Amino acid sequence: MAHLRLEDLWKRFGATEAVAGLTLAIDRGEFVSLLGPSGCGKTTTLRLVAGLFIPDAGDIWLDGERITQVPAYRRGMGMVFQALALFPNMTAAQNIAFPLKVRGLPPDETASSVRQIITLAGLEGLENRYPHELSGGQQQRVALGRALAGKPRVLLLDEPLTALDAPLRASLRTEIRRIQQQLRVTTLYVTHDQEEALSLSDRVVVMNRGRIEEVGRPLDLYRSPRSVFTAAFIGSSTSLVGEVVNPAEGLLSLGSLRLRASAAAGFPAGTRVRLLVRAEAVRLLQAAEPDPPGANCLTGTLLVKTFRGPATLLEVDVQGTVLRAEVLSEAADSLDTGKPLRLTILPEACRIIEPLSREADKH
Amino acid sequence: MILTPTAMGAGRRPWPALRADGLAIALLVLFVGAALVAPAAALFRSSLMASGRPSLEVYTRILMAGGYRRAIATSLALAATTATLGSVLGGAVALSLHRAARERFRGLFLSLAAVATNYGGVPLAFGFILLLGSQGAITLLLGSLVGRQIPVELVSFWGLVLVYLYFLIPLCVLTFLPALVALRSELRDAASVHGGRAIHFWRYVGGPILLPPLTASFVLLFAHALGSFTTPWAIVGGGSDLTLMTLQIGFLFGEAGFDLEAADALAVMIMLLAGASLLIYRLLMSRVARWLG
Amino acid sequence: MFRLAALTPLGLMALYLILPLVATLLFALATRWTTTILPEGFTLQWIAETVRASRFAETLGRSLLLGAAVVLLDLSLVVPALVVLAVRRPRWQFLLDAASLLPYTMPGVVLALALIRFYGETVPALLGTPWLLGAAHAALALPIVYWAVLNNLKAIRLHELYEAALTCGARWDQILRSVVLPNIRTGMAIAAVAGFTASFTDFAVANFVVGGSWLTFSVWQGYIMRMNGHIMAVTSIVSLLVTMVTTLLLIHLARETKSAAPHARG
Repeated sequence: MAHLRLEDLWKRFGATEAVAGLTLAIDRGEFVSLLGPSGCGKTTTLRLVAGLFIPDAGDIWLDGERITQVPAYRRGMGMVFQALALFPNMTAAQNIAFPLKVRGLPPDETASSVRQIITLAGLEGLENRYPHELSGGQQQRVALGRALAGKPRVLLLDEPLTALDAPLRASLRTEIRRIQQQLRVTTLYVTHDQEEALSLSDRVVVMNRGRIEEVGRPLDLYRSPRSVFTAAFIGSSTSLVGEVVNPAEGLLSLGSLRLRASAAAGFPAGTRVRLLVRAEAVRLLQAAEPDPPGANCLTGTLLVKTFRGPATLLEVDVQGTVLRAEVLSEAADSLDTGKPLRLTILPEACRIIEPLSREADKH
Repeated sequence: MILTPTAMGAGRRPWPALRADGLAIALLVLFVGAALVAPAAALFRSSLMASGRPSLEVYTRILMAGGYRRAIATSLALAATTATLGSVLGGAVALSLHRAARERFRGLFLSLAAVATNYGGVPLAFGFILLLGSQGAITLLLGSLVGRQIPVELVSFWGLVLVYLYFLIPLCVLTFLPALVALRSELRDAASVHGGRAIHFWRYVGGPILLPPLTASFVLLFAHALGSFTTPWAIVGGGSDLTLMTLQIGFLFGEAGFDLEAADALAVMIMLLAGASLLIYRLLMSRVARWLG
Repeated sequence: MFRLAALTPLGLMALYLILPLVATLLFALATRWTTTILPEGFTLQWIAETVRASRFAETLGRSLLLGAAVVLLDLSLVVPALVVLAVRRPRWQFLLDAASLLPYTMPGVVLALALIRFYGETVPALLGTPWLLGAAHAALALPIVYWAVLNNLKAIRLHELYEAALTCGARWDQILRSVVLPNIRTGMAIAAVAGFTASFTDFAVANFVVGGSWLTFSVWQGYIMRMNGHIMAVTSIVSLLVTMVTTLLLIHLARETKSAAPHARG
């Protein structure tokens, strides 16, 4: 049985439906991310689980117990807020001790628990500092420590790393996952950063406008997204619209462009479909390299080159269509904008997301 | 024109010479010295002299003698009472404003508060006399309700308290309300999620966060009440037992050459108390600033 | 429901604050109101008499002029000093901050006494003159002016602007004129309005430093209160109007400051 179950949750603010009929089951010890753009309802969902909001309809079950109407202070959870919300009048140790203090635990027990958490969160030496005396990363750890101190049944995190700089984000990210796995605590993590969601989670819930778009393991969502929204949100890709010309050969026409996609075989000729081509599936062909047999070979003009560290993102104009390609930065170094390029795409790499009706392809 | 550093004038000092710098600062310091420091020092000096020799005689005298002693006691009691009532009521008003009021109503109320806190002095005293004087509207109203004359005495300790609160409560609201920003709603959420009920929140978080700024307001109100002259002067007038330190100083002014040392000593006492209040206020507010980040 | 419960103390407080003002207004318009709960009748006669009173225009004009002069004096002392501090000599900030707070330790009568005792011995010619009063008021208003300008300077991060102007090749007078002054207009306006109010509403200092020889509006009110209540009421309404105007100006200016402040977070 699922540890945490959300059943058909609804929450409205005035005329806006922040959460619309959300159903989700999370197993014990699972790390689940709620991923989506701002306004998609992920934070509202988190706050519903925390008890800071009461749903207009639906239920929340924890360990078989119906907690929908249980007030926040009795749910036994831990939460890291986006703005951290550390108590400014307390030291790091006192902040962490708070959940234990309000429970009425004896001081020596509290002290030893706090010491454990301090070690776990890597805060040795900083126990007696006040929040304003700590760096952003250190404050983050205190917030995490406070959330874990009371041995929460569920750990909730609301975009905890957004305000930090990149290297700090990366290192804290791994810390959070490590601690979570060590403690095996059921975790719900809200973020708009797909890289974060994919690297941390056992499962990712992609949300859009109060509803769940898709749920799945990071790899599955990445490789075979089932909706355009998910595909666009996760990874870099090009979304194209084409018409099936010859199902047997898997041939599609996109304006003046011809592409072969293995998935096209399943559709009758004349169907308009939406395609997804992952940027890293678009390979660069060197000048002297022959065309790989059976693959799509295209020539285009380089429009934009964006350096991103190990990889470089290229935007290439291929007969009126703009394709995105991700290549190793070494290879991209010698390329100049405005010059011709040769690209190749395997037919298997062109995924068909969905068939379109006449109206749908207007989007 | 070639843009060399010298061509752009960077070789020459972009700011006038050292002397002009110092002049600007010196003028201000000189003004403060001439208008405040020197006169205050003069008061200190003359209050510590008796028949040409340094002594604490004046202070011991005013602390023992009936009239002065009563004035000091009443001033301190009045300041303490009004500061306490003012901070408690002002704090409550500020909390209500912060929590319940809509933006427009809050703005309106704060405007009213700002006007009220500046309206003191003679006009304020007059307004209260109209309401609560011996022929005041409220006095008469109460009298007609009860059926006989009610001895509402505005010229009394509590009458003064009532009038002082008119400009002290708004002062507390205006200085305390900004500090309420420190009590962000996320803190309440953080406390609830981790098991804290309302009493836990107020005891461990809300209270400790609000205590310094509220105490700072208290101290501010105390100093302000202690130094008030015009309002009590207008209410008390001349013929009453009720006396304050400031009233005594004012009274001694009129008597040319008579016991001005006592006035000096009283003034010095007010200065020391106000100075101490100011220091405490600054200490507390700097802590608030640190917490607000 | 909760809203209502919280609003009742606010409502009571608002009532408490408005009542004396309403009473004063009624008295200003009343024919007679001494032994009854409400005025016996209404008239504009008192307003006319007040305006006609010789002292009215005279003292009002004096107080307005004095207020303006005090503000001018304070601004010319404070602005150059603060600008120099911000740009060239930040180490002295602490000293000036402390100096600016001194007036808070010397309320009205104390300041008046100190000035008279000191200048009575040293420069007796100053006693009873409006010059001494002007200086006294400037001292009273100093903290308000100082902190209003300082807050504005802090908000615009003057040092950074100064460096930017320098790298563009500007000279000090150009910097002052084009960079500094235009950006502290709001702070100076707040300082001016608040400082003016402090001077206009003062009674104690004016009464003891110049008294009857140079009647200010507030001191005249002190005399009138014992003589004619109705005229006193009218002058109170004038005070109230002045206070309301300055308060509204301040609120408007304060709102401007909030919107103009640059956001530090990127």
